[in-house]
Amino acid sequence: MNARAPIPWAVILTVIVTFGLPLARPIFAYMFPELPRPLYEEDPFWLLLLDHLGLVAVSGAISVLGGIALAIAVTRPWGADFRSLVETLAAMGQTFPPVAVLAVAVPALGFGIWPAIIALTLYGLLPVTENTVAGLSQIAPAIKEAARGSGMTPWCSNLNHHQRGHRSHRLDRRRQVARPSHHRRPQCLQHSLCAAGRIAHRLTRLGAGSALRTSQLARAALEIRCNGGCAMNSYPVASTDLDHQLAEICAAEQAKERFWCILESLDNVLAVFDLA
Amino acid sequence: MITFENVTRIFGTWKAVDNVSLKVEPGELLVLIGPSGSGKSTLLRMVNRLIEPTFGTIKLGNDNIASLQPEVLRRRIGYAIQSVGLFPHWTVERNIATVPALLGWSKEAIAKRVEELLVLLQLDPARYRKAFPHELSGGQAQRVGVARALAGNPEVLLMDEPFGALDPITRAALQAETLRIQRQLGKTILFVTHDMDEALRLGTRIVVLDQGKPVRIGTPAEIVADPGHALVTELLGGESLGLRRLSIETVASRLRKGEKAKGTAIAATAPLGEALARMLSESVETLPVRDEAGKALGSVHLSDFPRTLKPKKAVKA
Amino acid sequence: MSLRAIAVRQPTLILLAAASWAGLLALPVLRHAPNRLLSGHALGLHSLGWPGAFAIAAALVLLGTAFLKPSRQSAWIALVAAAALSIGITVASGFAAITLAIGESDTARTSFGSGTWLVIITGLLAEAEATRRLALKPWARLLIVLATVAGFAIPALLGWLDQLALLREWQAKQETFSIAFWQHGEIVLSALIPTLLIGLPLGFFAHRSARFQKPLLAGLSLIQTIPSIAMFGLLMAPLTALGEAAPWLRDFGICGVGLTPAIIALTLYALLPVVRNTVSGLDSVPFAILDAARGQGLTPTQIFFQVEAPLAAPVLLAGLRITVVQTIGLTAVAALIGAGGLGAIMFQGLFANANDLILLGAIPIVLLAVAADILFRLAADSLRKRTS
Repeated sequence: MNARAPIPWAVILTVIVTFGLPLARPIFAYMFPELPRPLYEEDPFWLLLLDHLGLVAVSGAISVLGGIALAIAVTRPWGADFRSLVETLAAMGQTFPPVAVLAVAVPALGFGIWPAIIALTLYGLLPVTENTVAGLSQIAPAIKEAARGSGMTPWCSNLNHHQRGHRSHRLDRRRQVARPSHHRRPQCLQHSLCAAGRIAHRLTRLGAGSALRTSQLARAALEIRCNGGCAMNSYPVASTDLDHQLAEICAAEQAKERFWCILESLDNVLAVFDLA
Repeated sequence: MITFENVTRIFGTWKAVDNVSLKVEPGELLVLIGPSGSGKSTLLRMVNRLIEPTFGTIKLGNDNIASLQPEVLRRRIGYAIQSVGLFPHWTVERNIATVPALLGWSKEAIAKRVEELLVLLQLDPARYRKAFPHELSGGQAQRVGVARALAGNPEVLLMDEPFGALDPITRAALQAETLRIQRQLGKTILFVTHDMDEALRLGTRIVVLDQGKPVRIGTPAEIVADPGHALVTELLGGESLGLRRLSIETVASRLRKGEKAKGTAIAATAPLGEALARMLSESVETLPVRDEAGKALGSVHLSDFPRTLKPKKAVKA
Repeated sequence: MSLRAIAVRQPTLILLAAASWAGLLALPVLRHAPNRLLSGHALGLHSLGWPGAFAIAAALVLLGTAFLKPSRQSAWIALVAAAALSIGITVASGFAAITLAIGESDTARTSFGSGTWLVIITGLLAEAEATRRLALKPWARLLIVLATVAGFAIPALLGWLDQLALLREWQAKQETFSIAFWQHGEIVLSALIPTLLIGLPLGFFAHRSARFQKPLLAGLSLIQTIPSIAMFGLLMAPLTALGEAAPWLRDFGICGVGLTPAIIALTLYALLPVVRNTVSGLDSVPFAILDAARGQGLTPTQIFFQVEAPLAAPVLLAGLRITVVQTIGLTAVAALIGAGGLGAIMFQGLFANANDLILLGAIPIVLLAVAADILFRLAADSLRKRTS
């Protein structure tokens, strides 16, 4: 055990305090001689601790699960209408002092364990929901679109088999103005599940335009691939610098069957769309 | 105007600037150019003491800048950077007035100066005076940045890749502005860029830096005629170096005096590139040449173009 | 009109309107009890009499707007209807309480039933939702808030709500209440002064020195994890001991209970948001601007006061908002150790099992917190308009 790790120390300290505190009665009697009962003796401390942890665990679990479910529901297309309402509620929840909420729970729900759990759960629901919504909406739409548009391994390996004699890629006419990046050395990425994700990640890092454009870019990037020499002649001859250059690059690199010259094509695609 | 004497700057174990001795003449636009990490920005920022040299001295005029208080020094020097750095919570007017306010000018003098500069940078004062930086486009913001740099009437202007973040059209417009302002006001400008086209267009002299050392100093014509170093050749475009000469050299250098030729005359001060373009579009190989007034001077022949120019004694660092 | 033309076009409004109708029809609207300690028996919508018709009409309009296409007009209609609903049912309850009090003994109480609470809350939520949809300028939003507050305050001032249990409690404890109210405000302000005096310089130094920043923020975060009740309790013992050891301190009012531990604890809790937001505010100033400022020839002091501080201010203002709201809430807990304030009334109600007394304490605390939040947000919004 690392001597500086806080969690084991915290656990040990808690255990010591729980079982040691009743034994410290003489110390408290000395410090506060005027008190006839310096220590709480009605319930054992470990029972109180267990009660406390139990309340926290139950209400916490329900809050977290419920909050995440609510957040997911609100970020789906069908739940989008309710999102501003939920956010208003969450913002209000942040403002309401916790003690006031708990106090108000008494007239509303009465005393006891279950009213307490209900109050704690409802109060904890709001921050969980708010932060989950914030987190979910942060995943750039680009990555999701790219992931969807480019597909996972099944799609990639599908292409692997079927791309011999594959149709020409139909990119934008804007490809015509591609600036040759002859000074850059091409890099070929090993085919992997993450290839599409890496593209999308790079695109979002560059702050590429709207979600729609980025997905077009991602799809375009994946379409421009080289896979061994045999697919090259299927690319139209009346192509722009882009194709010609790619053909050279890929031939030069002698990309093996499962290698994708994605990064280089990405650079070119970005240059086409003026984003590099 | 600015003298660098054996200036070196070391960061940790890396020499960003390596024993540079250079002189910037008054009224010239000296361009520092080089690849990333060549020390050009570091050298620039040592002039207004944003970075201090590890060894060596820098003089502004006759004053050793190390003897002046940094703030006092900086108020005598204009500073324009790529990201402009306008203060977002101040209007354009207040931004431009930064240095004059620090120098304690009167309100009227400041207002007059702001008006003057907005007109100089071709920004309509009525429209832009009270605008905020976030309302400006990239080009407009950089114009304000240049105005701010000129506001205190500095002796020297430092410009660190000021047009790098702009689109080509705005960049060209602002380059033309810079040339115009420099000729009009006669300011000494130290200009950092990584774009050779910009350097050739703007510079009175160009200093090519590599790894903290100057490898070539000369006028644009000298550099194009005799690169003298592999890096310079690469920066000039490698194989298309020859084409560069077309924009540098004029028709006058290839003039055959007194000869007659058919067609519309071309001015003797026009660049060779323009003559070539006309020859290609008119499918001719000779053109008559005239002077500014329109008087016939002679003719120019396509076959004379590849003649080598005797290189002037180029200054190697 | 074919059925297809009637489609729910604003699902949130339907939800809220449905909730308010559930409150009106399915839950008790009023509760009538012989004294303030019993919860009494439930009364339905009919007990509101004809003043209730106004509220019912408003509820119908609100339901109707859910079928309208989302537009500025429908948002305004929803806003007015929602406000009318909340205010209307309050006023109707007030009148009903007056009616019910006739001929009853002095100890009898009429209070809002859970249905009325639901209606009021959903009405206010619908109003907030409609305001958000309209995306108004800060001053317009402020006006709407003030109008709603006036809508509740004017009937109260006119005496229409006097027979409601909440107001009866207030009447019985008027002086205690106003003392507690001002005390609450005093405690919050007295805690804010040391917070700013200590927190702002700390934040400044934390920003300038990364080595100092990490342990400072870690320490303050640790303090935040201590539950407030525990913190107040933990401070009692050493302060009492201090009071025993140096009796002259008691003349300054420094002792183990009351204001001293409250203010110390509140300051400690308030430090984290202030320091953290000062640091992040100063961090948010782009380097290019600082470089340009240095390059123009501004001295470090000038750069700080003229450039850095104004640009960091919005983030700091957000931090202050969080601090003030948090402090208002924690002050309520401080009542447990004798600091006074609205929390005292609230806890008195808790221990005496008098529900309306709890509400008399809790509602003003919530309103204070919400008011502070709204004011700070509006201030931040108008500041933001200038720089972006």
